[in-house]
Amino acid sequence: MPEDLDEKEWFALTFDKHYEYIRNYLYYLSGDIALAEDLSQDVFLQVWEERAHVNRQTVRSYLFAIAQNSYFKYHRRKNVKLNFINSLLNENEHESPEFLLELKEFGQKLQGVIAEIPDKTRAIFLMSRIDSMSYSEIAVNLDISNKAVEKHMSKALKYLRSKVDRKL
Amino acid sequence: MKQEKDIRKLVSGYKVPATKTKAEAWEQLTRKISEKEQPKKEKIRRLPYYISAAAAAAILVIFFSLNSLQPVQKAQNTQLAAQQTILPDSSTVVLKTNSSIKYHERLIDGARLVKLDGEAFFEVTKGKKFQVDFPGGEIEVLGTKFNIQAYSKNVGRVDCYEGAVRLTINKNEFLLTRGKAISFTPNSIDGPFDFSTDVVTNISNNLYHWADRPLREILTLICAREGYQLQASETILGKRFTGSLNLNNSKLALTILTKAMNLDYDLTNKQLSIVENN
Repeated sequence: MPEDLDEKEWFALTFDKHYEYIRNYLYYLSGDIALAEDLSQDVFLQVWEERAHVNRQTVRSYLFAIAQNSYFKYHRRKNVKLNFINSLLNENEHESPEFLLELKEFGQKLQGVIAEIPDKTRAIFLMSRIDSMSYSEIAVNLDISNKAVEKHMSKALKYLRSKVDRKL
Repeated sequence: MKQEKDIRKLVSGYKVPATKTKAEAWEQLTRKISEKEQPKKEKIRRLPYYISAAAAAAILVIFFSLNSLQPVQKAQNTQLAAQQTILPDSSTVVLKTNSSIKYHERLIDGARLVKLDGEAFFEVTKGKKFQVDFPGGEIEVLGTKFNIQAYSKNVGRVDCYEGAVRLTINKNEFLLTRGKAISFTPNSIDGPFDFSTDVVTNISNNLYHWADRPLREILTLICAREGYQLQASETILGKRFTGSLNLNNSKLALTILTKAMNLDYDLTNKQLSIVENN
């Protein structure tokens, strides 16, 4: 992002570019959309207040850091309940109702299992799958190594496999 | 493995159940920012109670110190001749010998406060409350003429020449009207009794008139004026005298008084003793 942008333009662009990822990240962590949206507001508000000192090159990872810290520090939820909108259900309207019902039930169970995955691992898994981020992108965002991202991913998949195989 | 593929497909199709769009969120954020950056409204700060208390105390202290800073006018008369003083409110005070007054106006209500030691004749102009504190009591007037004799707590006399005065002696209240006088000691109060207001014309010289008054009153007045110590028996002090004396010359006055009452006096070292004339 160019350095010479007007503060307001820069901030608007930053918001436009990263808002959804931050909100999603907070939702993956908390499973609470109201909290995720409120916290996202706070995250951007903080960046706006610190705009004079923020390094514009690394603002994305800074945003993630603020989000993560404020969530874990003040708003950590003990029982995460995810409630994703399943777009597949809407897309596959031509499928039989039985199949859709089955899919829905399976989806609910799956979400329950995903919610059981440790917070950070779950967030990384969902960022990779839902937000289609590459491992290195996630690594930059969360300021961790690629290896760490890989470990989180395999941990998440392993957990899912074990649970889904046994239960479903 | 098919199941895992299903899972992957399923999960990729998930969407975060957002309650507001990015545009809505942006609008909300910009609103928050502008609210924050608006010049902050002056908040009414609630002061801790101890600061309020301290402020109140400070105001009181300032008020009382201002009050005490009100100019105090002092007048003292050590001469034998009576001395006339005009107070800032244009009341006049005729100070008799060996007497002093302090005068000041109270800040809060403008009341005129006088502290008297000795004897003085007041001619008070109408206006705010006028109060005289003297040994043995206090007097409150509005506009009137009166005389106070109060050299000490032990004996005193108040004469009202005009209008009316409210008098407090030994926590008893009296209302003196024109031509009434009251005489007091710490244990007894004599009066109100009548006296002749005609003598007012002679008040500023030292001519005194008594009508059927005990010698105690006359002798203590002379002693207070001259700084004598009085020594006399109760029977002598109880004797009553009617007549006029000029106290400019106390020795002459004493001679006249004792002759008239068939007594004798001896004055040595400011010790005045009155004895029966044998």
